[in-house]
Amino acid sequence: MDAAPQTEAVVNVLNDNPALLKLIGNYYRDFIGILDKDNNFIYASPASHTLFGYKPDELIGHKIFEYFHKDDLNELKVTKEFQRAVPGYFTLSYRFLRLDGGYSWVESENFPIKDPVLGTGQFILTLIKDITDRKSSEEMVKKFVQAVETASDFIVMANGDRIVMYANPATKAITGFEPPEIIGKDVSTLWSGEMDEKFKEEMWNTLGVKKKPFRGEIINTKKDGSKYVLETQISPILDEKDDVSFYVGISRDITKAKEVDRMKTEFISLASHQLRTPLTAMKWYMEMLLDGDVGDLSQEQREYIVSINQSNERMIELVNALLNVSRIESGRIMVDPIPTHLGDLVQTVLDELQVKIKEKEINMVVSINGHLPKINIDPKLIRNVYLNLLSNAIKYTPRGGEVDIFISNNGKEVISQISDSGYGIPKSEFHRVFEKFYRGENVAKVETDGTGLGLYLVKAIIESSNGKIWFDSEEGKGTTFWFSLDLKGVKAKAGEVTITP
Amino acid sequence: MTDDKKPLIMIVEDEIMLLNAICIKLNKRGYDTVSCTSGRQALDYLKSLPKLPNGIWLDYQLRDLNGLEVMAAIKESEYWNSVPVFVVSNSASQEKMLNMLALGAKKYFLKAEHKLDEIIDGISTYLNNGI
Repeated sequence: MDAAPQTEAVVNVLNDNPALLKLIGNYYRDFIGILDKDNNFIYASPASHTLFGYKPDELIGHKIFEYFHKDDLNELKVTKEFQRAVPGYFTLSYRFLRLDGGYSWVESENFPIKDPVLGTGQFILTLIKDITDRKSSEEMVKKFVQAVETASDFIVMANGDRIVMYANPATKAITGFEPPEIIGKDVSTLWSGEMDEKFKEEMWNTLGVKKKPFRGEIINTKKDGSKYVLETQISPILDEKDDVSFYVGISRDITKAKEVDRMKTEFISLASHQLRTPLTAMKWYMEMLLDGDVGDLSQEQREYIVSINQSNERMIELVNALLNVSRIESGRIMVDPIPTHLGDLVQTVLDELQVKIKEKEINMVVSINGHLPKINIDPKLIRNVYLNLLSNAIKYTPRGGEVDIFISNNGKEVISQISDSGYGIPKSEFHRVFEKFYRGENVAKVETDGTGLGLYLVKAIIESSNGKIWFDSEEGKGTTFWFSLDLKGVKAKAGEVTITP
Repeated sequence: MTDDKKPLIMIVEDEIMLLNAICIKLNKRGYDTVSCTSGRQALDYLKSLPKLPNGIWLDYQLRDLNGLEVMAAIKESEYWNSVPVFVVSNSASQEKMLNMLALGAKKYFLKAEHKLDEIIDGISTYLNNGI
């Protein structure tokens, strides 16, 4: 059969209705193409330009396969369809090569059409739609689904009637129930667990009435009867009418964390009482010995007891520091801000350190900005910061050295600077300065007294006060520490304990 | 033995070693003392003593009742609640301290932080000057 007349016939049909074709081709946003029996383009609508960059003429005479991404040109499927082996309409999704060399994801609907003259299927009408946006949305959704499916947190979706529609695989590990066992059930028991009515009321009030996310800690029972604690956030997802279209709950099992926390609190209690009792007994009996309450002591006896006493005081200090660290780490320290003048606070610390300052003949230089306003900070906590930094400066500076304290106000923050002319910190240890129990290699031998916890505590206090702390040092020359506190002050925080001074 | 002229302090402390030291020091400072090693014993003594103590030195962590329960019992009694209570404990919990002060304790000392003399100074200042 001679191909030319058929092609011509179709082209004539097209040419006989140029206005119609032009109308459709020019206005239809998707691409319209017609392929002959060899799959060459014999017609291409102007959309080829807007979608792929080609002028329609540039496509004519070319096989459609030239524009397929090589990975999509699956020999069996694609060419079979295009060979009209299977009669009827078919759809394909593939990447179409653009003029600029890039590819666009497209979806094409393909209609084999009969030659109007011969009455047999020869041509293919292909309607190609650019689905780049839809594809990238689909890819995103796939990624999200994968994230949810593989998450170790337990993720549940319920519809507006509170019926579970989806539960991710982590459900089994956390609740003991397989997803199919909870899908279709009311989500209330899952999300409010064994909490009381007040809790349930507040949860559904926040979610369903206020339509805001709800965060809470929930105790529940696993399928095997064991209890677990979840930290949960449930968010209502609203439709365009602002009605709740569904709820998404993401929960983390914190049973272990709660247990560790409880153990920490118990330990604090233990240390507090059990360790301190014998330390107190030693302190008081030595006090009585030194006061002569049970007879006079020889000079040597006195010296020995004074040494024991000093060791005892060091242990008391260590227990205090450990307890403070433990409390800070378990978040139990309360922050009680009151308007405080930092200069006055520093003065009380200097008074406390007077004996040591005189003993080491340290030259103290104090310069405090005259226009320092009172700021809302917890004086017990910040006093601890000054005490640690100043006593360190004095301790690690040789006799006759200098320690400076400057407090300045830059309009936004109050910056405190404490400098000394002491042993300094080796550069190789800079990264360890705020670590627990860290003591400088160069000073631990010279000055045996020190817990190594002071700076750890100072950093924790400053950071929980929204401030910053930094330092610089040179071995043999001295060290300077700076810390900032916002003029706006610090928010109050409820807690159970305060710091031991 | 009690001397009517000397002020009497009732000491409630379950650690015998500490109790002894406290007694010795208080006696040296001119106080008479009565010792109890449990909360219940303290309440019994309060009921049966010929004269009320001038002050009570109370530890928080006792073997039977805790300091709060003893304080609450003292506060409830019209006869006892005029006796000033000084809490000397090894627990620095702010919450505990505030609770005790709220129930009427006059002062709160952390044992390991103070020499005996310092604590007794605090008690004497209160008993002599009301502060």
